[in-house]
Amino acid sequence: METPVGPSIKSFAFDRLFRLIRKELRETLRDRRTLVTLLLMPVIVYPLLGLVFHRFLIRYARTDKSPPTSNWVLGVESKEQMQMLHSALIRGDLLIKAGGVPQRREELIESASRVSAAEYGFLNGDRVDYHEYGSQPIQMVSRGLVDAAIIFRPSTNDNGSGTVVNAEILYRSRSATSLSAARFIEQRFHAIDLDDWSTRMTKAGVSTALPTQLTTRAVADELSPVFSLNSLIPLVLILMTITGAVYPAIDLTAGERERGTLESLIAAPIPRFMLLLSKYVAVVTVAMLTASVNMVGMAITVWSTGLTHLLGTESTSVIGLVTQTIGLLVLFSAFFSAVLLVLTSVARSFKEAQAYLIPLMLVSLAPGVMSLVPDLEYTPSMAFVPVLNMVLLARDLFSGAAQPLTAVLAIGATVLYSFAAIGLAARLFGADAVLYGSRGAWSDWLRRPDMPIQAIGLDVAMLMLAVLFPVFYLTSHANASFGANSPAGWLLLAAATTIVLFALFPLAIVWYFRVVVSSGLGWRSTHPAFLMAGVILGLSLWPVALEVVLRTLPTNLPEILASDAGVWRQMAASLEGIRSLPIPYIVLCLAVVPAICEELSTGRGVLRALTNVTSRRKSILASAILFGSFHVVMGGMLMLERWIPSTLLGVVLAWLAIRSRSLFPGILLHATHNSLMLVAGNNSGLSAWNRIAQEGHVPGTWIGIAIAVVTVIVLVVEKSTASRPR
Amino acid sequence: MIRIHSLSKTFGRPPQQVKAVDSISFEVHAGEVYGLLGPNGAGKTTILRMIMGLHRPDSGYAEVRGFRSDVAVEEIKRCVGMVSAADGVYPWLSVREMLMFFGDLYGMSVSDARQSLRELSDLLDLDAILDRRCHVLSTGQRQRVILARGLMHSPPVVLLDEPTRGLDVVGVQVVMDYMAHLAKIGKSVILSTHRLDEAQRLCQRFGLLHQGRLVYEGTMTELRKATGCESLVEIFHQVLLPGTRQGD
Repeated sequence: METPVGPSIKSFAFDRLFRLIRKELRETLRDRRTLVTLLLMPVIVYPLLGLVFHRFLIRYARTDKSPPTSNWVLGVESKEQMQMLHSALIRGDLLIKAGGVPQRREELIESASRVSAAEYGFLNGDRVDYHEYGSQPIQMVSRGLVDAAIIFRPSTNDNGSGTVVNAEILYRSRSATSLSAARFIEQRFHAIDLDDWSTRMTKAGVSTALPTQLTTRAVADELSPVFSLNSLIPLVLILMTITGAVYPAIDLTAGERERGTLESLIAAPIPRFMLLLSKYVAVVTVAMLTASVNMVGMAITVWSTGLTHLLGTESTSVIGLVTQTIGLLVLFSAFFSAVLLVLTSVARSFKEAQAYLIPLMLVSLAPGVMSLVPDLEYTPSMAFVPVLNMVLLARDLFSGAAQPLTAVLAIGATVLYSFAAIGLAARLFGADAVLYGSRGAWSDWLRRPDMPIQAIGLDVAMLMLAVLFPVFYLTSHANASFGANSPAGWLLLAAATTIVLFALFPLAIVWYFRVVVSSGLGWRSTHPAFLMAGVILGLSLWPVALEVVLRTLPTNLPEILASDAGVWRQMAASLEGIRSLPIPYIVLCLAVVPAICEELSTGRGVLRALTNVTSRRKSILASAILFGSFHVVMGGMLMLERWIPSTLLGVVLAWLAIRSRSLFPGILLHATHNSLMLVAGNNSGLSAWNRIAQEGHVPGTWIGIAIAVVTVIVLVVEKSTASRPR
Repeated sequence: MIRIHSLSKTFGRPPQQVKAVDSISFEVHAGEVYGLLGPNGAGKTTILRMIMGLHRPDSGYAEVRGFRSDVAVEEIKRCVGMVSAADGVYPWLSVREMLMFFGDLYGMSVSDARQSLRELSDLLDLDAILDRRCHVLSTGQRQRVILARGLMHSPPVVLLDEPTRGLDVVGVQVVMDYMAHLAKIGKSVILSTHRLDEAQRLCQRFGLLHQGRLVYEGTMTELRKATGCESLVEIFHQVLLPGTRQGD
């Protein structure tokens, strides 16, 4: 067999990837059609939409600001207060009508005394009715059951000159009717004040204090919430990112076939994942550019048409608002670009690709509309629903109600889904059916290889993780609720779940795709020295891992736990229950089973898929990050402080797997490490452990010894395997 | 250099099933131009695609420099350059940008790609158009660019599928000269074409395909001996319309 010509492109070189991205961007941005998509919306459509919207809102505002009705319903605490208020309002109204003319005032009082209070006609023909609010004046006003309410406070003395009436008027913010009712009361009391003041002054000015201290307060308007542009932002983000990504996605995939360049691309010895990744970055960039230009266009339109008050954001900082918006843009663009690439990769022409867009739009807009649903609670399980998770995250971010747990889960899930979609697109792009129009395309992806393969593809690995992550979280959450009642059952259930998700599921994939288990999973014997190295590392790593956990624990942990008391209490009760179980049972369920299963899937299976497309160092890093990310979810809770130590452990595990080419040293390391931590944590008689718990730190000498042992093992293994061909 | 072992390929499902390639075997040596000849639908392009690993054969395999197409597709792709008349170009890239991009796809360093670009530019007379966008190129210019694209990584094996289709006389001459040059420098070339005159001029050996089967295979002398015909055109006529001779 001769040596092939040219270097291998297996290594995931960033400079090459950058050049490929640059080519895709050049090809896209030089195309006038992209520029039209990029600029047409912000320059022409938004100002037009803004004008139309403005007209609509003016009409909408006019409805609310229509001339105040002359028949208000005022809230009072009791019948006595109603009579008192009505009398005061009549008096004040008479004073207003009199306009400060004493003679006129006397005449009016005289004429008013001839009719009953109920029949008194207020200025401009206004009328008032009364409604008792009992003990809930604010709710009555907020819900629109009364237009305004008055709360009388205990009167106070005024240095002997008389009593001061203390009262508070409540009205609905944003309601012109409610405001006018409040003004109606306010003006009449004010007239009384002036009259009394004037009388006193006339009598030689004995007192300077006003007889009434009146304040007004706006309360939330629950009756007719004014429209907020914020609720539309998730929808706008969906539309913008799809609009921005759609043309480049089609052009860079289906377009390759139409212009006849697809075959020459597929004939090149470059990993298709790399090819698709470069296209993906280009599509995301254009989608971001389009969305950014659109956002600026929208912002200018909103500002120039005077609609800024409708944004109603809780975030007062402009920088915060911009940062949130950019972050969301990245998330939306990343997701939709990946999904679009999947659809357009399977299309044989522009026309076919465009036909796929309508279903995508419909499927995406349905969750987008959910942001308009009032009081929809964003639960952690929703964080795994594609699109809906981003939409609700956007809604909560702009209303200042975003929760870290749902935010992290949503971002993590979206990133994983995006990578899985790129993997799928890479498998579909240039498939026989797409390239030459034969039957298949989607079925090509599921086609079982004719001959055994050495490792699962990265696309399959990514899809496997995209399924595992949400299912793992949800089952972990469900299992945790079971734990407090039956700790033994909980552990058994947790172990069974781990076996199904992290062993049986990956093994089924390995079987289906005819992966050779010795190379694809590292299921082969190895030199005993590697097994020994695994055990020693498992025994030595804990001081470092524990110290990292202790250092990364947040200082406000009690408050955090209190804020999530339900789940935490459940978890604490479960953990307490576990202590009563036999140690071997705990170790088997929580250390040995996870060690074997996780090493099978994320440990070796995914690592091997990664080494197929990139260098070993990058593979170790990526595999460790995945390992760490899976370990932040525990019992349905998000424990971010576990990320760094788990990722570090993941680095050592991946390194050992690559050096030993076997699964077993990693299993030993993992199981030993977990077992040691569990045994120590469950044994309250260990004085050293108690000392660490009290001091909050692992002694420095222990850490030093651990680092020294790990370093020696690493050096020995590296040296003994350095001459091995790669 | 190239060995084809009983390659077969069927398209479609019954009753529309078509046997595009039917148990074909042949060899191409280093420095040889092999003419794969046949009418439309004879299976020429399918064979080339199976050699490259773009089509999965139903049975059989191709072997290029010792690498089997069913086992080591990536290695085969690295040592084969494929050029087809149906290939397109990137309209918004300049010729230089496009060729450098393909250098990247084949894992070439930037300096190696530049060197290769200079050599191909001299050979195929691309200097004047290197910085032009591809959408303004004429058919002949585009064909030369496509030829350069397939040869950027200096592959020892070259597969040419109708490389002169749509070219004028001058364009054909440039491509023919270049093919002769490839053979001269020791590359294995498979030329799939309808242009029998070109094939007769360039190829050392021929494979005549009809309805997916290799009807005749050998040098011109061997073909003449086997068929009793003088030229490829006559042989072709005999294959397509058995029992008649050209001019009858």
